[in-house]
Amino acid sequence: MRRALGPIDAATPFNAAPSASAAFSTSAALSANPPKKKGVVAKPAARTGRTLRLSKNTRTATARPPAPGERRALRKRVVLSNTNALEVRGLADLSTQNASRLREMGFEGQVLGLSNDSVDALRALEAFKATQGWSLFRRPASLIRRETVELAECMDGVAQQKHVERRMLFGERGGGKSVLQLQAMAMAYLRGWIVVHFPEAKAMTIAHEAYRPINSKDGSTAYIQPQYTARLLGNIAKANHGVLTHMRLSKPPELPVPVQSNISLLRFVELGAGDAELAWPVWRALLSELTTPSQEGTEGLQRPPLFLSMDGVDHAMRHSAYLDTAARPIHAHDLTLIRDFAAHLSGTSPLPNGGMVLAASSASTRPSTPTLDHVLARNEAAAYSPTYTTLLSNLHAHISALATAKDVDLSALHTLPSTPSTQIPATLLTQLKHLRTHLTSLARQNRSPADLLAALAAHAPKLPEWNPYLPLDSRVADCMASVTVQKVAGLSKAEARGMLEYYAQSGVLRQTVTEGLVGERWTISGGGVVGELEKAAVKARF
Amino acid sequence: MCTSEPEVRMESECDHFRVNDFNLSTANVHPFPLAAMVFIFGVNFPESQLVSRSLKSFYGIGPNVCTKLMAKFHIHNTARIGTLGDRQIDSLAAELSTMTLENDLRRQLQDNIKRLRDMGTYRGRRHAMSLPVRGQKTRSQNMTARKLNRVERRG
Repeated sequence: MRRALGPIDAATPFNAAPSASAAFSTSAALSANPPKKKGVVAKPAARTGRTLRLSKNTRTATARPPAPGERRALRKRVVLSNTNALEVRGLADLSTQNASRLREMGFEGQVLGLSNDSVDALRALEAFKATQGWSLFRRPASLIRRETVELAECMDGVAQQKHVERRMLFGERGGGKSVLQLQAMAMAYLRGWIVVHFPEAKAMTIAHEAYRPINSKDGSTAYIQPQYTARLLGNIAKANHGVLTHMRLSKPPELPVPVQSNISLLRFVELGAGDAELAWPVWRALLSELTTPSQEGTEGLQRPPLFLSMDGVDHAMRHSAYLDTAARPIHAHDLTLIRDFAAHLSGTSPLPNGGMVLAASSASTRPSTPTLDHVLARNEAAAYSPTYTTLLSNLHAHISALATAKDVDLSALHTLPSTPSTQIPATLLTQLKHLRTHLTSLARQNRSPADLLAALAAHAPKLPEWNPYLPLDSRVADCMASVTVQKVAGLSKAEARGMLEYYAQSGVLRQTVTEGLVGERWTISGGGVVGELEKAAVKARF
Repeated sequence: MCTSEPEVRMESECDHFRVNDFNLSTANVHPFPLAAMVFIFGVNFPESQLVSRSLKSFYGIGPNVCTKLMAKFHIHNTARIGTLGDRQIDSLAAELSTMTLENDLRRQLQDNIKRLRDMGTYRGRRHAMSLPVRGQKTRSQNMTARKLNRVERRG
């Protein structure tokens, strides 16, 4: 109605039938009022894209976009408790009393909880990860596996003899390397050690942290990361405050600001945590304080063993994403924090009060590290080669006593596993299988025992060798040369059973745990790989 | 009263979760006021802007030059303008002032083309005619050349 009564729109001559002016005259248009803007509803928006227009396809505007850092906080959030999960009756805690007696008390293959104070310490150290399944259970607990018990016994030895255990965990994704490291941290914390943990080497090497060059004592350039160091010191202070508060400085530190001479180490570390400019000298001084020999009689100068750990250490064993002034990549070992850790891992920096340096590789965010891979394979094979040699010498003794080759007993070789396991590394397993084939064929041909002995001699253990046509990262090779490497492979069936029973008691596995179920889930999970076991038993619904 | 209610609810929810402190990874997301500006080479940049983005906004600085510049002054990839120290900003500005950038670089480009044209070279003529310079065919497509190639080329 309103439109019909209004002035006739000269811009649309087809509607303007009773117009007095000629169709091509522009004077009416010029004298007319400017055309009114039409409402939005009058013209549908032009079709864009090829999607069908349905109400469910339109994107509704949310109230507000996420604030800076909000999505990251959500991604990094670690939830350690779930009120919907059942409380497991009689779940014992890993405690000061039982941490050194896990085997005697029969905890191997059982799940033990973590006490509140160790949870706080571990959370301060960022030992829990968002990708781990802590949020499925009432409170944090972990399986005490064979490797955990071995680590606990190793720690007992360290505490008694004040030696240093330098070890690197590796293995496939979801194998439990990080959780084993977490358990080691918890046990070190319960023993009253100082625990220093670098939660993710990747975060230190992908050039997301501020860095600055310094001249180190040997004349080379190293790079400090002031903000990261400050946050690391904050974590150390939070996690170790009970121990650090009773310790004081033994010598005046080299700091740009004056410090009270008998300041407690806790206050000293907090000083570095509060000021990024002081963080690096404070870290240096802290490390030198913790690595001075303990003075047992003097109050405040006793030094407990030190536990140093780093997760995702592959990223620290290659060039980092940082660039030097000529825009060449900086080796991760030139970053001072990683350099300090690597020095302790390789054993060039001693720990006079004993301790453990535990590195864990990461299989989910794995960069290409050919040198590290080679050194891991070589060290693993070297650790097994005495067993291999014993096996050969036993066979040698057996064959030497034989009259004919037909009587040879190869049962020791016939019991080899089909796939490489924690005990037998891949390279040596292949060699043993070749030996078995060779000896079997010789025995079948009824050759003389001397031929069998010659075959034995030809199959001495061969360690993996580096391809000389490829560049070797000598810093990584030197650092890892004498490190014990430990493959974290799948659980045994007994351990898998303990895990599944814990799932059932927590109410996340709603089946009776039988031998059949354990066997099935163990197989589905690639031979007891913990992460896969969790997927197979808890996250997947059959 | 109304404003206090959601806070109370938030706290009771938090009791159910034990949330990590995110101290190594999420601290200092925006520690600086967003309005503050930093003056580099004649341009005011907001403190929250990435250094790499700010540098690449200059004509004559692309990804490569930017990487080299940042490496020279030890600026990490995710650094924001506000986190740079005074010395870093000064030395960055001093370095930029020694480089041929923006209008100087554009003028250099135009001079090069003008020189070709003045000499009467084929390349100069092709530039002047807004046609492809390097032997491309012109039968069907030469939009890029028509858009860009001219004596007073904009950049």
